[in-house]
Amino acid sequence: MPLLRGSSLDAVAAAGNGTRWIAWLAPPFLPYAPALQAAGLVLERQLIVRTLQTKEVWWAMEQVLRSGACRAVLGWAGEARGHVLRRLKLAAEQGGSVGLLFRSTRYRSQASPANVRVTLQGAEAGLEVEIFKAQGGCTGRTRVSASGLGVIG
Amino acid sequence: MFACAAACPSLTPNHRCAFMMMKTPAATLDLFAPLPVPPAPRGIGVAPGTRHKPTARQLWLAVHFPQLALEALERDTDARQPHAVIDGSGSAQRVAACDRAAARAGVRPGMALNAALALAPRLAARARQMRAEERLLERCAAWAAQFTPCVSLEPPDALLLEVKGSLGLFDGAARLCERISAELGHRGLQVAVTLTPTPRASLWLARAGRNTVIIEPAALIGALATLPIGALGWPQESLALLTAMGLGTVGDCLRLPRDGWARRFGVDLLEELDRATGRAPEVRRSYRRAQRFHARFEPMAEISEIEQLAAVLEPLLAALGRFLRSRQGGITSLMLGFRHRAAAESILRVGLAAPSADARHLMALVRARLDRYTLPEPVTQIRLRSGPVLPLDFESGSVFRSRRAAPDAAGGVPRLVERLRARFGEDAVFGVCLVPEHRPEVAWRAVPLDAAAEGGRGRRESAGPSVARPLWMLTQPAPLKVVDGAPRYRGPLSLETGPERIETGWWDGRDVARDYYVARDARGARLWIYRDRRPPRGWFWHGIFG
Repeated sequence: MPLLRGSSLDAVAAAGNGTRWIAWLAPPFLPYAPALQAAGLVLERQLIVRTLQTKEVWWAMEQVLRSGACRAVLGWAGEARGHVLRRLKLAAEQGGSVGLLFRSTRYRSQASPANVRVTLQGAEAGLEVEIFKAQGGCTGRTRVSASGLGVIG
Repeated sequence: MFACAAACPSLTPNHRCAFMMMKTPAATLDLFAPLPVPPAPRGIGVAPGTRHKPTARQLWLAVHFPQLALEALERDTDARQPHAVIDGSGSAQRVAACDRAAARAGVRPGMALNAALALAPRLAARARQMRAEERLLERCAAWAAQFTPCVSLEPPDALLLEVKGSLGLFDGAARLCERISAELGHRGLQVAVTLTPTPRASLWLARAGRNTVIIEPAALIGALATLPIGALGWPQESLALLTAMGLGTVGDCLRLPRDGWARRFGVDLLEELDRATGRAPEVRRSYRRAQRFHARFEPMAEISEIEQLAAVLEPLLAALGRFLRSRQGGITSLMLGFRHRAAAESILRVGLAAPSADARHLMALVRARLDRYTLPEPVTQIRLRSGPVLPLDFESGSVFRSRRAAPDAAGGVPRLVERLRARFGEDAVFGVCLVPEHRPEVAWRAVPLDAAAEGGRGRRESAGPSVARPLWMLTQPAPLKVVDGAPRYRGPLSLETGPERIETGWWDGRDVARDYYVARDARGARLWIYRDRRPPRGWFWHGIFG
């Protein structure tokens, strides 16, 4: 299961440095508070929801996105079908939030209405990032080291 | 003296008159100053100050329930059966109220029961239930609190509402009166609604059955003058005396001299007349309402589907919303009880992070709870009880609604947390904070989000060491396989940095002695592992770096 990498944490931090919250829905491990703070996130504004089933992750993610209370929503769902993804996209547009849904790479070939789609793959010296869909942008493959800049938008 | 009066053409005839009555010429010097009103003997009703106060300081709306005694009792709906409520006992039983069918037969309130039975042999006579009347009146008072915070009970059968400040909101006095009498009429209550500048006058006019609206204090006496004294609720002996004197209306009473009135009828009635005309103030006790909401609902048939249950709960929660709105408060807890035929009552509790009075929001929370709920048995009765009503900070709605739903900060977070909690349970939703502690597993703590949402939790400076910590931690360190003394995870691990020794915690019995390393596995993932320094010196996986 792909995890959120340190590099993309910077992007989340940049997105969440205001007053708005960041929601973590069903993360596979515990987000570790000292590391979150070291990355510049405001600890008081993290909302973590644990132990959810896949369908509940969809529901929670839609709720959080639609409420607009959170700047970014990170959700870990094993899978998500087309209509779920469309609902999530609509909710994100309504709430003005950024949603990141982490799925297994098995679903790469599935169509998705997401604005940006990325595969993350652990590599020898860091992380291989492939942006294979970007609305109004360019796609490509890059490799970032552990200290590299985040590219997830 | 006449010459002087002629030389002052601006004087009114009244002034000239006063001048002519003056005895001494020296008084002519005062002619150009405003003169007092001639001290002629005056009746009770002439209020000296009314000309200087063209607008009323208060406006009182009286609601009189002429048939409250009847309406407080549950009746069968056969319209042809005459009904009456009987007051008193033994031979002193009298009709307190009767319905239209009884009135057609000639029964009147105040009539002896025997006389009433003689007129209407089929009369269903029931004993008066004072407690039920009080409860009904209180329910009406609680309902009326949506129009003004100042509601006063006037037992046995009337309410008084001070509505001066509410007229703007409810489109003026006439509209407000219409609305109140229409809405009470829908509830099956017969009412007379009156609005005047004094509570006593409103009450009198309402009891006389007049639906009057008087805003100007000057017009008040004119409206009162035609009122028969029988409608004032005065003691019988005083009424008999007044009638014997040939006085039939309030206007007749107001024309009598004050001192004589006080001698003949006592100061109390004089005081009442003064209050009615606004000469004397009337202090009213405000009605204090119940601070919790209780409701009970018995469905026609047993409910076994969650969908049906939700449909039944909706009006109950709407009633709760109205209850809270009239108190300008919100609740943070809500209890739902479902009674079954055999099984013990199912109790469902809903907690909120911030006080709310929004019925739709409450319904969404209840819905989320119900979705995860399985009823042990069909429901025969539903109970709803609110927690204490807390003051609510109303936010002004925005005039220009932005297209984006929530442009401002964290306003929606408490609600969001409530929704998530209602669905996933209290423990599944939390925030984090740092704890100044070297042991990695206790250097953070999960905190409930209530405090965080209110901003009550202060920011802590970084308490941990400045060395790198993994983004992800395992809840429990997982033992790693060891082959030839080297730890393995999905293949051999290569140690990158370390060891970082953490040896502390002897004081609470969970002491640790570990050497931490950053290791990279065959797929390139960086793991945070440690070797226990105490036997059997095993290797454990504790975290994963991004």
